[in-house]
Amino acid sequence: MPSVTSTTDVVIRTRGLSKDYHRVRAVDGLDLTVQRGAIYALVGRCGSGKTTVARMLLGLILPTVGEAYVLGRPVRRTEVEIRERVGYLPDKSAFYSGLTARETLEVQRRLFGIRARRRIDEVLDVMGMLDCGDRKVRHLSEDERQRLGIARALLHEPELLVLDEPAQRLDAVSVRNLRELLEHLVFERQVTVFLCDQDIGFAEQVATRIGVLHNGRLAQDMDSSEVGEHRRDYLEVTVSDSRRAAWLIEELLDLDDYAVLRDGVLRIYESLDRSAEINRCLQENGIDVSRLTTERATLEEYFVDVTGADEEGEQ
Amino acid sequence: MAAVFSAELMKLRRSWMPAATVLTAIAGPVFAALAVWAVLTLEQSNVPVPQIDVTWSSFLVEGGSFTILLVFFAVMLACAYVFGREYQEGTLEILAAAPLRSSDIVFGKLAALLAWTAAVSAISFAASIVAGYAVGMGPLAAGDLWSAFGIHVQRTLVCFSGLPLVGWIAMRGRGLLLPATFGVTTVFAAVWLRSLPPARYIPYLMPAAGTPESGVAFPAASWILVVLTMVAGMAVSLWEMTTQDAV
Repeated sequence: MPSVTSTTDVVIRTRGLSKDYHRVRAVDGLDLTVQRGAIYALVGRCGSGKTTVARMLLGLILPTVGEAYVLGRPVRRTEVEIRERVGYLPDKSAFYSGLTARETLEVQRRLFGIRARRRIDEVLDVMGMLDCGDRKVRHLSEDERQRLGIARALLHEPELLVLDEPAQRLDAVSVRNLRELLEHLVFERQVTVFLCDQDIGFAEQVATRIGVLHNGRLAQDMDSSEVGEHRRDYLEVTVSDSRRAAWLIEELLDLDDYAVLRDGVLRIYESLDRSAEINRCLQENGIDVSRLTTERATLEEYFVDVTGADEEGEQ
Repeated sequence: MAAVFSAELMKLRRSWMPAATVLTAIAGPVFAALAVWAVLTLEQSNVPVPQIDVTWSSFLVEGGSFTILLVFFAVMLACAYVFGREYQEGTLEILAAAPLRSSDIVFGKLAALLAWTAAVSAISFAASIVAGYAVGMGPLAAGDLWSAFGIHVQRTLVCFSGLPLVGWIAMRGRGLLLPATFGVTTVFAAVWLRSLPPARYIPYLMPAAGTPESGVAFPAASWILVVLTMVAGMAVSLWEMTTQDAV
């Protein structure tokens, strides 16, 4: 039987992975490939199916249809070896509230059969938590709890990290530290990172590949080098009468790739070198132009385009 | 399984469970001792009271049937906590992501509960003896001690046999409420129905019903039902952990 995971460089591969919850399809036919050493960010809106995908990769929930292979092995509840090599940060990181941070990691150390107790202090140190190791988890701040969750995922030095909303609840300094840590793990230790995030900003900063999940389907799957292509440059024009300005640029300047964002603001996506001509045309026809700048769309705006299109259409 | 066992004991030790279970286990002997003390005091005061034969045997065995019910309730609560909190607090997702088989998780938890049940039961028995001495029951003969201890062990085993099913109820109910309700209901049912013959064949009622007549607390058929209940509880718990989503 030909193995779909015969290539050792492929760490995650899914084929037609689907999950239904009470007749609602949360994930629909997901075909995904993540290479070793990549930071793959699966982004999407709330309820798009990201967490379901992460859970299916660990065998925590069983797919309705399709299959997933992680680290060369089919994901099943009985497949213990995969979980030995995967670190997991759940969306809502839960802790045994009576334990301290150090005891939380001690429980994890026992569950993973890690002999070296010093590993606990090492990960606490990596996450900047040595000073709060003896504090009860319920007394930790949101940021500290999230860092403890990440420490727990790192404890057994996994080959693959599955992180669900890792930057959520972290403060700005911790987000920066996390970014540096992930880059260190990937480039120095060849760890592969699969992260799910609705924060496109964080994903954009760290990911080497980004997938956009929308309504359970993979709407986009692009390399970080392709990300730039989706950040279109445009002219943003602030005018006194946007409806008339739109008519003018369409009829007199023959431009049709534009959008009226809100009252008084237009975005023109073509002929950016004709900004002076556009400005002159509008002013000669009685439109006051208070601002005209060249901008670059963020990935977030592209993300909203991809994932928000259906909802806007429905309205 | 050993990993889950040690992790579970650590989690239990750091929870409110030790205080709750030990207090419940001691409460039985304390109340029994207070009742004996009241009877003895009234008798000395020449106040007419019902004739109660207060011996070590009756104190440890008859009184022990109520004491063990409190132990049973305490360990059912601990069982509900051990299985149910994973769902209620969302920690099962972490546990299930560890390199453990479903059987490791279920049997590791049950092993921890067996140790817990043994410890609580031992505390309860020791507390009964201390309470008996405290109310001036006189010297305890070795024969009485061993006889009562044997019956206490039998009752403790019956208590443990009911736990796997309670664990499954906690898993099905995704929390503590359902198994705790089950625990309270069975304890009240055991008190209410203890004198009826069927109580000797229903594992959840047996601890209160098992009064020894000839050194054997329960008939053989009772023990078969005890084992069947335990095996059935383990089987459904294992099925639940293996086939159902862990979140």
